[in-house]
Amino acid sequence: MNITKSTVDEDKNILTVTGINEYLSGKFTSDPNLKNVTIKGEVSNFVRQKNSGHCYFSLKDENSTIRAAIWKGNAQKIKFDIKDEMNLIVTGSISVYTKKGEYQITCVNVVPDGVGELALAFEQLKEKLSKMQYFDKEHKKELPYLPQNIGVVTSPTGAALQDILNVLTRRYPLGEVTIFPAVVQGDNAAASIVENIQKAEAHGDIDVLIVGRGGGSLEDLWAFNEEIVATAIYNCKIPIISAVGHEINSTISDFVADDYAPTPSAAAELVAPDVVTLMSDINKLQQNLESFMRVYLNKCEQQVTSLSDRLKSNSPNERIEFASDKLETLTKQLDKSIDNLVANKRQQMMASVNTMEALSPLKVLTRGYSITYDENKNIITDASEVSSGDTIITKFSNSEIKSIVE
Amino acid sequence: MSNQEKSFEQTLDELKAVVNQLERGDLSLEDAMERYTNGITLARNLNGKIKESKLKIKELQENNG
Repeated sequence: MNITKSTVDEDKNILTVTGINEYLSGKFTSDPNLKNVTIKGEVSNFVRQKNSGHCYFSLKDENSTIRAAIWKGNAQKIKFDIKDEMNLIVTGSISVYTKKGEYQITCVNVVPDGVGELALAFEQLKEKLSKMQYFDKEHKKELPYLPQNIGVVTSPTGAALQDILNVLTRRYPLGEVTIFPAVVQGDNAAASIVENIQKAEAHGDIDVLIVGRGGGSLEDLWAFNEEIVATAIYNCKIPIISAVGHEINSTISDFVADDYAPTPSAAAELVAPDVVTLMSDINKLQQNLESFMRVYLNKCEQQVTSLSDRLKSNSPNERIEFASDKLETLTKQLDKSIDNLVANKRQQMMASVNTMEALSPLKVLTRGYSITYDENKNIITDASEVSSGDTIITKFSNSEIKSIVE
Repeated sequence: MSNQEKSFEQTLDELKAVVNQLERGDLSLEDAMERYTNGITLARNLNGKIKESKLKIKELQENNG
């Protein structure tokens, strides 16, 4: 045994507790077999200390158990949450914690046993957000039918942006596209994506937002599986289409977003209708409109025609005809009565005339009398009124003679 | 309210009322004549509106190609 003097009771050759633990600690640290050890086991009694951020737990198998610790710096790098009963593969060095006389493995690398680390982290976050109802349909906003300004949060240099722009130029030249350049890969990606989603929201004129990037490994796409990105998408007031990677990749962003597309190109097709389809839709609507108006106008016309017919059949014409007939009859009666009246009067007059005629001097002439006039048509009633040589006229009933008085 | 400001439906309703009054047949000749004259004017307005609308539709369709 190689024990220093100070740790040993000089008289009785007895070791102090500290002494033996420090001795063992030295043994552990000097053994290369205990450096960089990889162990697999099931987690129990996992604790993450709130103040320090260090994690402590035990790893066990059927027969045995070992204490384990992860210091804060390493703990922060782990994507998934360590929980009891989880099977882990940990790598680290085994050392003695002299204060308690325990040995433990201080882990520098921790991965899940059986599944990949990221796969596990993905499942864990998916479950957590699902419980928080981040994926519920009630939270999904409807995409605008005809967006005027389409925002795109993606890498300004990536193929995804080119794909989106190509599709939109070809299919939907009506909309404006505003690009919010983000880092979409690496440690800063999540924060950059969150920042640009918030920028798009603050912009004020963005109708719909495509958030995404082209395909890649799970590690490449990891930012779209981070909780801060999911939360930013969930809280964004603009409808968001998640478009990450290729068909096979699905991300937490896809689940949280209001809609998702398997690829950036597909997102560009989803965000707005094809202008050709749109025009044919408009044409169809116009045809519907026209046929509706035709039917409507015909109906109006029928109503008016039927009312007009009823109006005409109820015109006062018949009444006027009847009144007119009556008037004619009355006029005739009137004429007739006037005629009768005149005839009566005429008859009366004729009677008077006859009486008068009977008394006329001319009538006396027919009985052989005559009237004598002078040349000036003065009636001569006495012989003294004429002198010898005067011309007199004697009028008979229907002739006269001229004579000269002797 | 002049006839131009009245809607088609209002005018149609008025015409219906006129026809109904005439069909009841309890009006004096003067009243009947007045209603009838009014009815003819209403019917003329309505037909005018329909013709105008049809023309406008035709015009719009032709302009649209």
